[in-house]
Formats: sequence, C-alpha cells, structure tokens
Amino acid sequence: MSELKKNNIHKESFISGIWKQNPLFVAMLGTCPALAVTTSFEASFGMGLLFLFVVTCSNTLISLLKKIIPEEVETPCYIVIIAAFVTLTKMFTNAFLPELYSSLGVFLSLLVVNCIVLGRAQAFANKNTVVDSILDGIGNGIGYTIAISIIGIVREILGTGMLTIGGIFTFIPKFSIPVLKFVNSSGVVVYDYSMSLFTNPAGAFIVFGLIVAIIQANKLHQKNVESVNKKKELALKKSQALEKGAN
Amino acid sequence: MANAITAFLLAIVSSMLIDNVVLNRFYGICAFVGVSNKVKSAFSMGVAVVFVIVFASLICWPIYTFVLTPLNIPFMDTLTYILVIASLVQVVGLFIKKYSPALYKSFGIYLPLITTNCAVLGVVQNNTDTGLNFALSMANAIGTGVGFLVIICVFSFIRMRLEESNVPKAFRGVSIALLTAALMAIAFMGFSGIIS
Amino acid sequence: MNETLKKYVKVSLTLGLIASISAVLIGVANAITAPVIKQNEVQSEASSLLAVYGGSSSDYVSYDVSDLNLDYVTKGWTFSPTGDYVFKAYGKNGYGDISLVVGIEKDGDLGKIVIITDTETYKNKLEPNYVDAYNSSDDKSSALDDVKCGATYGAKLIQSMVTEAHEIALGLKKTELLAIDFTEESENE
Repeated sequence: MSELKKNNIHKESFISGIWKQNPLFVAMLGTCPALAVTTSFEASFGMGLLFLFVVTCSNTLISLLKKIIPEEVETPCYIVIIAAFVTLTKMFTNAFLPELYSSLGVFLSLLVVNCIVLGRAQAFANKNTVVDSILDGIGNGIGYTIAISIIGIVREILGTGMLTIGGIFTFIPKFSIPVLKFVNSSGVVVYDYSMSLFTNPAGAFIVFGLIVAIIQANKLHQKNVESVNKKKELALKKSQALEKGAN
Repeated sequence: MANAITAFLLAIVSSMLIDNVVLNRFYGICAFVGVSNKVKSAFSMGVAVVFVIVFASLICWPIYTFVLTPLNIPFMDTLTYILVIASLVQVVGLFIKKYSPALYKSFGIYLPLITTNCAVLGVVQNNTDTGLNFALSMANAIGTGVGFLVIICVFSFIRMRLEESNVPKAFRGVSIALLTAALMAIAFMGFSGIIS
Repeated sequence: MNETLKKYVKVSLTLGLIASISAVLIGVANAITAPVIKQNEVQSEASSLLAVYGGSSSDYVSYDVSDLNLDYVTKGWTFSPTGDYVFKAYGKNGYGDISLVVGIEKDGDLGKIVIITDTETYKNKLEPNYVDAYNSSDDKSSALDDVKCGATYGAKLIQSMVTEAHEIALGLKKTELLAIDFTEESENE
C-alpha cells in the first residue's frame, strides 16, 4: 500500500505542475517573460526549455543540500544557487544557440528573479526528496513551456499571419506555415489578414487576458455543474426520505 | 554641457513615456498585476521601488566597470547584481522599520517582493548589457523608477473603479486588469517616435 | 558563547560551500563556452560580409582604416572581384548599440546594409521599417534620409554610420584620383 502511495506522490508532483497547478495560468507567476518573449513561437518554446532546465537543476541541488542550509540564510543561498545555474544557462545559450540568446535578451537573466523558480525552491524542494523535486521541476517546466508556447503560437499567427519554424533553432530547415497571410513563390502577397497589433506589447496583454478569462470561465462552469449536481442529489435524497416517511 | 543635460532629461522622458517600463518593456508585470486596489499601498510600493532601483544602479554600475571588467569575469554580473539588490532591500527594510514602523507595516509583504521585481534586476542588467555610460545608466534608472511609480498609481486608480463596476463573471479579477493594461499600452504606443 | 560560535562557523561553512559549488559550476561553463563564443563572433562577421556582395570569404581583402580618425567604422574590406568596399561600423545610442556592415560601391553609390547585432529595445521596429526599406529601394541615399519609422534614434545612428563609411570610401577614391590627377575636389557621389 505504501508503495502505491509513494508512486502516487511521484505522479502527483509531476502532473500537478502541468495542468492543475500550472505556474503561469493558475498561480499567475512568472508573467514577465510570458508577455515579453512570446512574439514568436520558437522564442517562447526556447524560453520554456531553458526555464525547465533551470528549475530542474536548482530544485535538484537545493534538495540535495536541504539538510545543510540553515534557516536564517535560506533565501540568499537559494538565490546564489539559482543565479549560478542561470549564468551557466546564459553561457551555454550564447555559445550554442546564439539566435535564441539575442532574441531573449535580458529576460534570460531575469530567470533569476522568476517567482516560479524561487517559489518551487522554497515551497517544495527544501522539504521533499531529490526524486520528487526533480519530478516537480520537470512538471512545472513542462507546464510553463506549454502555457508560454500557447501564447506564442496565438500571437505569432494573429500578428504575422505565418508560423515560422527554423528561424531560431537553425538546425531545422526554415519553413513557414501560412495561416492568415500567404505569399506565393514569386513574392506576391495573395492574401493578408494578419493584425500587427498582436506583435506589439498591447497584443500580449490582450491574448494573456483572454486566455485567463477562458480558464476562469471554465472553472466557473465546472463549479456550476458541480453545484447543480449536488442540488440534484440533495433533492433526490429529500424525495426518497419523504417517500420513506410517507410509507 | 547643455547637450549633456538634454540627453539626460531625454533619457528620463524616454524611459517614462516612450519606452515605458511596464507597458512596453514588460518589466514589473508581477507586481503590476498583483497590486492592490488601494492607492496608498501602491504609491508606497512605487516609491520603495524607485529608491531600490536608483541605489542599485548607483552601486552596480561601478562594480561592473571597475571590478568585474578589469578582472575579466563579466559573466559574474547577474550573481553580483542580485546579491546587491537582495541586501539593499534588506537594508531599506531595516531603515524603514527603525524610522517609521507604521510605514513598515503598511508595506507588509511588498517589501521582500521588490527583490523579485523584474524591473530592478532588468534595468541594472540592461545598463551594463548595452554598454551605457554612467550618466545614461542613472538617467535610465531614474526614468524607469518614476515611470513604474506613475503607471502603478494610475493602474490602482483604474482598478478601484473596476471593482465597483459590473464586470462579467469570467473576466473578474486578473483578466479585466490585463485587458485594461492592453488599452493603456495602446494609448502609450502613441508616444513612440516622439524623439527624433 | 560556544553555541553562537558554533552556529556562526556552521553558517559560514555552508555559505562557503555553496559559493564554491557555484564558482566551480560557472568556471567550468566558462572554460567550455568562451572559445565557442569567440568563434561564433568571427563566423557571424564573416557571414554578414558574405551577405553584402556574395562570393566567398577569401574575396574580401581587409583594408587598414585605423590611421583615420573615426567615430564608428572599425574595419574595412575590399571585395576583390569588383573593387567595391565593405565597412564594419559599431555605434551606441541611448537605447542600446548597433553593429553592422555596409557596402559602398566603387563609384560611390551606397550599397546594402547587413546588421550583425542590435541590442536596442526598439530593434523590432527598426529593421522592418527602415533597414529593409533601404535595402529594397533603388535610390538608397534618399531612403537613408527617410527616417519615418518608430525608432528614429536607431535610424539616425545608422544614418551617421553609413555617412561616415561613405566619406571614407570617397576619401579612398579621392586618394586614388589624386594619385592620377590633382584637379577634382568636389564631394558629389
């Protein structure tokens, strides 16, 4: 029984980071990069992957050292560890993915003060085992990557009309999927329904606000359905009790 | 001399209006979205942020130019900056606690939150990443701080009004705040190109 | 007294351990990535040269511009098949810095601009509105002056860099002409 419970805890810490406790849409943390780098799908996907790396590594190290770090100097120690991993990520990205580095700009350094990384370190990694912390880090990273990529796809398709792949990850051959804008091979624009508002900062706020509204509407709907079901059950029980009483 | 002063003032105006710190560069969004509807606490947080940004730039730029670059370790900048900022926030907190405990109480949880405010680290890192000289860095810092203060106060006024109006259920809370910020951003887009 | 001493020793040992772990991580990463970054820089410069006039990198013969008193231009090349010039310039303004290469043809006409790095906060307005419009226009000197994009500061910086490169090219042309005959001193393009 305890084996099953342990497996459930592992699974729980992994799955909860992806959907139920999605760090961006549910907990509303880490919104600065989510609005700033999502002008293209590739940049946001790259940012999500780098975030996954940083969160997992920092969770691992902090969980390994959790017995040694005294409580008074907790926060500065976490900050030093996270900053070390972010500097490492910056250097590797500059060396091996320079287009991603130049399109992310200063927001790569801002991963140090990302509320999610610090939050997971303080809330989870200093209380749980190493394996759980790794799974939690990976789960949160995947959840953040999915969330930020959704915003990136929507903004890129609505804003430029095409989904360009291969611009930043140059080992993929560059191709564009035309959705709202189509340029045929001789360079003539056949149709163009893109709205450049969405590549501007205002569009980021609009897309993010609408997605949060959709998720909130979904949550309210679920609550509504639950309460309606509960009322039905209660009414059923009442009518059964009345019948019994009448008999 | 007049040229230098003009450049300085221009840099401040551009950080406040044209290249707005929250609506254009997306620096303080976490605090912006989570700011309370009370104008007073928003104002005090904005003032604290101005303080921290200015002093952090004042300390970090010389550290980068005179310590890190000659020693050939420019990659240690992020680590150094965040440690400076964290200690600065602690010092400011102790200062406020000693001289005005009421103000310290009204800050509440917002003071430690300034450490994780993207605006502070963002401005300091940006100054050295783009290689600005000392005067322009300080102008950038002052402009960013004052811009953040102004925007946060305006936004808390607006949110106060939003609380009293009849927002559809799905949009209540963060969502309508973000859409309002979108409208503000569109308004601020009109400032771009004002300096030529 | 012993207790507090022990506590301080423990805290400082922990901090020292964490600082040394971080230093080791960063040091190793630096040792691995620093040569790769340098190589990337050289390669991006070479590929942006090729983007100006084509050909291969051996066609570009470097030209010494260090004895001139220059604000922006750092390097010059001659494209040996046609004799055109390519200059690399670097400049800073209040929003960031720009590094680019610009081609100047040997009869003085302005050529293509290829931006190497642009760290301005307005770079996404500058390139499609100004640089692409310049590169695709036929009358490049009036397209250079047509500063009507949302990033006027960056456009003015590019304008001054290209103007300086242009003057150098005319100056080189002038020394060639002077070697032949002494009459012309006009500054037309």
